[in-house]
Amino acid sequence: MRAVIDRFEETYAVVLVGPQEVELHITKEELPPESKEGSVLSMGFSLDIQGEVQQRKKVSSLLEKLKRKHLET
Amino acid sequence: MLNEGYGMHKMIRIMSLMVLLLLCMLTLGASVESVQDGYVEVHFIDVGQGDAILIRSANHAVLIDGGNRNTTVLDYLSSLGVQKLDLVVGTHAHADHIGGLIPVLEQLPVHEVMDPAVVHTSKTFEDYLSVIDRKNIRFTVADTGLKRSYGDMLLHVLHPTQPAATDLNNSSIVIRLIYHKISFLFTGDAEQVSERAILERSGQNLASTILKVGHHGSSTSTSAEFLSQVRPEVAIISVGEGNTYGHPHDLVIARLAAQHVDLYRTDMHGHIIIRTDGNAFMIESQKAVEVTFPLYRIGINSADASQLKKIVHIDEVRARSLISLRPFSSLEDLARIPGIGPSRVRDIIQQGLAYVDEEED
Repeated sequence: MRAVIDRFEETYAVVLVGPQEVELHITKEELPPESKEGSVLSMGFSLDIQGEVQQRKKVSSLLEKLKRKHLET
Repeated sequence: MLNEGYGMHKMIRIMSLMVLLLLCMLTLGASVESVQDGYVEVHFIDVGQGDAILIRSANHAVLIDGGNRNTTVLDYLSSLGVQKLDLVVGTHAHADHIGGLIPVLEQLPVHEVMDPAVVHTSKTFEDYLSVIDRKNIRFTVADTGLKRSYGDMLLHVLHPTQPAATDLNNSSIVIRLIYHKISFLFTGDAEQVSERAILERSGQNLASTILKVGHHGSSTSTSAEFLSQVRPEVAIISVGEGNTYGHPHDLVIARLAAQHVDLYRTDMHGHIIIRTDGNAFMIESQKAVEVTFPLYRIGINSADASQLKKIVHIDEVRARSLISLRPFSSLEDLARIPGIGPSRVRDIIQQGLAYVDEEED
């Protein structure tokens, strides 16, 4: 996906993503070091299976905790 | 028999509506914030693309969804002077429904949260659960048959049945609110598979005066069959202006039109407030839209070709011949168009989009 750096504000880059130019605020550290105002970025996505598994576990246990609390009251 | 009864009911309702109007005019200005004894208000809050519905009476308040993660809903509640909530319903885990509940749960005392308890991996959902945990709010897993009553208001949970679908839209909590003779059906983002399940479980008892149209008017929801059981007088679509998804879908609008349902949309009307004494209701909206009905119908003597093509069986060629054959004195008269016969005319009438208007000069 195409994105463009519109401007820098403090520690953030304002990046306009995709054909609709959706605005994202990204810290400078996350961008290639030579990025500048007007740089065109190519954005890609990849699945983070481990991240999904971890978050599922975390949220499941939170849900279980809330359900148990209700049973006790 | 049923029809006669309904007509009678409607007449009584119109008469009591006039009384209600008078009462409102008399009491206007007395108090803008609190609800009068014996009345219920349902606010469809304009949160852009998302849902947020506040139900309040003199002594109780229930919030169904909170829109995206910002303080729009919290600010709205504050402006009305709502200081606590008996119940918060997170219909399902999508951010455009539960995001705005987070600041509400943070700031206001809430007695109970009802949720379908289906895992989602967004930080928004995690934060929403965490605030419920931190504030020790009673957490109830929504299940068909659950009931709550607040004074004379009754809330019946019609969906999901546990274990809920893991597909989040279809895990949506569907609630019917009954206040004496007036009822509301709140559908979250439930899609047609859920509608069928609801029809099987509670088919006969679905009839509701006001329907919150499912999933922002997406074509995934609001089947003609479902609509024919709910038989609403008024439908509300909670939808963001110029949203990228094309909500509400023309098909849904056409289905509503075919059943002569009065339509209100948050993208056009802004906040929509329905006030009822349990017998009659009146609708107030933030923005005056000159014609609320038929907002979405197509005048065959004035509409342009792109409009006309929304009518069933009317393609580009027939739209052009329709325009050249104007004026039409009736919908039956459309049979003059080459390719349109009596059975297609019946389809057009059935669809409910087309109507006969006066020709423009």
